[in-house]
Amino acid sequence: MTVGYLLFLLTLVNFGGGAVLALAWAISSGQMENVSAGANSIFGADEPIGEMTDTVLMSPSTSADSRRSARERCAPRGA
Amino acid sequence: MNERELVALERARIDESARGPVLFFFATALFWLLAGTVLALAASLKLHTPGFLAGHDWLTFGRVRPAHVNAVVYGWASLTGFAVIVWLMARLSWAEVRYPSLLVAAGILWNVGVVLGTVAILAGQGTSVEYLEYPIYVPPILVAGYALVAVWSIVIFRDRREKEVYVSQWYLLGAMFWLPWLYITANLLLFWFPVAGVVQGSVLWWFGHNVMGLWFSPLALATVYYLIPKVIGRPIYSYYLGIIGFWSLALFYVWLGAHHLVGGPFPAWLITAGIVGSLMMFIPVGATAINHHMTMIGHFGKLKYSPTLRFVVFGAMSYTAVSVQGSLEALRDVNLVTKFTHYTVGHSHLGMYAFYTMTMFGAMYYIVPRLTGWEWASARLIRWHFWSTAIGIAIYVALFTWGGWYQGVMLHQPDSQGKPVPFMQVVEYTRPYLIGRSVAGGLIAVGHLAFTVLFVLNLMRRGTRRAGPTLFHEEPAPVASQPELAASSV
Repeated sequence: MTVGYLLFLLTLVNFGGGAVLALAWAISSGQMENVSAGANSIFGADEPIGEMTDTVLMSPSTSADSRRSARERCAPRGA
Repeated sequence: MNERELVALERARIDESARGPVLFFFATALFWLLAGTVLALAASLKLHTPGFLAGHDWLTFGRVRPAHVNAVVYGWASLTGFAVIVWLMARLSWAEVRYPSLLVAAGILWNVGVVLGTVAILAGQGTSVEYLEYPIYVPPILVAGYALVAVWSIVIFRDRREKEVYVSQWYLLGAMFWLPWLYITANLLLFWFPVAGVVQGSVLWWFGHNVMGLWFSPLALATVYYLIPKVIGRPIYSYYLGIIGFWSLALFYVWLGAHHLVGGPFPAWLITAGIVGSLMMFIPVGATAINHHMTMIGHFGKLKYSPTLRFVVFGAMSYTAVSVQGSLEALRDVNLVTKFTHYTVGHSHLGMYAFYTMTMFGAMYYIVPRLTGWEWASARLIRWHFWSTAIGIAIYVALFTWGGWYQGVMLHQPDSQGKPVPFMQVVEYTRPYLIGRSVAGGLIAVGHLAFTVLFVLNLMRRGTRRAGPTLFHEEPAPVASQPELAASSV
């Protein structure tokens, strides 16, 4: 039983403490300061904002094509 | 080579580095999805045709049903979750996957655990504790496999070259942090150092509900937050809302399990806290729903074409539905009717299937071609997959929401003569709904078969080679036929 209560206490401390520590780290490391940078971080020169990555019509200049050619250079045949 | 091509090459390298473990996780997950579907159909048929497969101990309802639940929870859902963690963490950290064999070893360990657990349940060695039916020797194997993925995640996060932490990473890191504590604590307090009497019930539901909200939901939400903006090429509507959604989930969700104890022998404050926490969930759910909807505005037309987008948006909409339904179910008056009825089963499938599984299908449609370098073989099969699973789960949830509610009403309210409704009459009342559920399950199984064929064809690089992604309503001109391709690859 004592072990049970200790574990329960440890869990509570872990959940609460872990969340507080993570939030403190996020604020101190500047994650909350420039939020638009966070939102834009998933785009890049190859897949810029404004271009679908699952496009309907592919032209030779679309990002998906350059990505595709790059992908095929990396992915060996028969994978 | 211009900058665009250089970045594309870098992105492809990162995807390539994740290929082995991610495909291993996906392939084994798909195996468990099929196994879980067969077990589910067997369990469903037994409820309206009790004689079905009744001659074998190991195929009785009491074993087949938990075998199904555990196969889909630990096999399908957790393994796809690991795949998404690896691929998204690598992409969002902008770092290549190091030690991929470590991740494959983790996947093997996890699969060994699920095989042993499933066989043990069918052999009658299950623990009979819901969602924790695997016998006592299985959890340490799962924890060992999990630990390898967790250590890998910490390493890649530390080595990240993209310093901005995207909202999906918050969700992934949260899930990685929450699962082991939930799972280890529940196992220790229920099996290794069992707490007394009714306290076991509170531990069980603390685990049982949180495993959905603090493990599966964050994994699927991380996927939605990445894939919707990525596919339509538009940043998330409000990054603030995303962050508020994450932190309010972290604060409120852990209380929710107590609403499963409404009506049980537990302190009133505990149950009330659970109900309050459930209603507070309107904040993260509202923030997430508004965010996803506002991001999609002006882009809904793309649902016609992109399989990834359609599956993921279906999942995201189901998240809102299941969360609102769940919050209302926590209310004492509603819970009085729905508890111990098929309504709850409908609710759990709205969460684990319509939300989680459909989102993961969307993720697989996006990720797999980027790893194999090969597009999906058939738009027709993708359409079959989407419509049979979407219609199947819609029928399933509608039937059990309606039938389950009236089942609950009949169990509580006297009939017109003021007498309790005989129990067998309630059972008879639910029979058409149970038959309908088997039909819906059959439809879902058809979708799973279609997707399995697509997945295997993709791994084998079969089908017409395409210039662009395989979409619902457009057939890109083939670039080269299969024989030409075979010749060129020699």
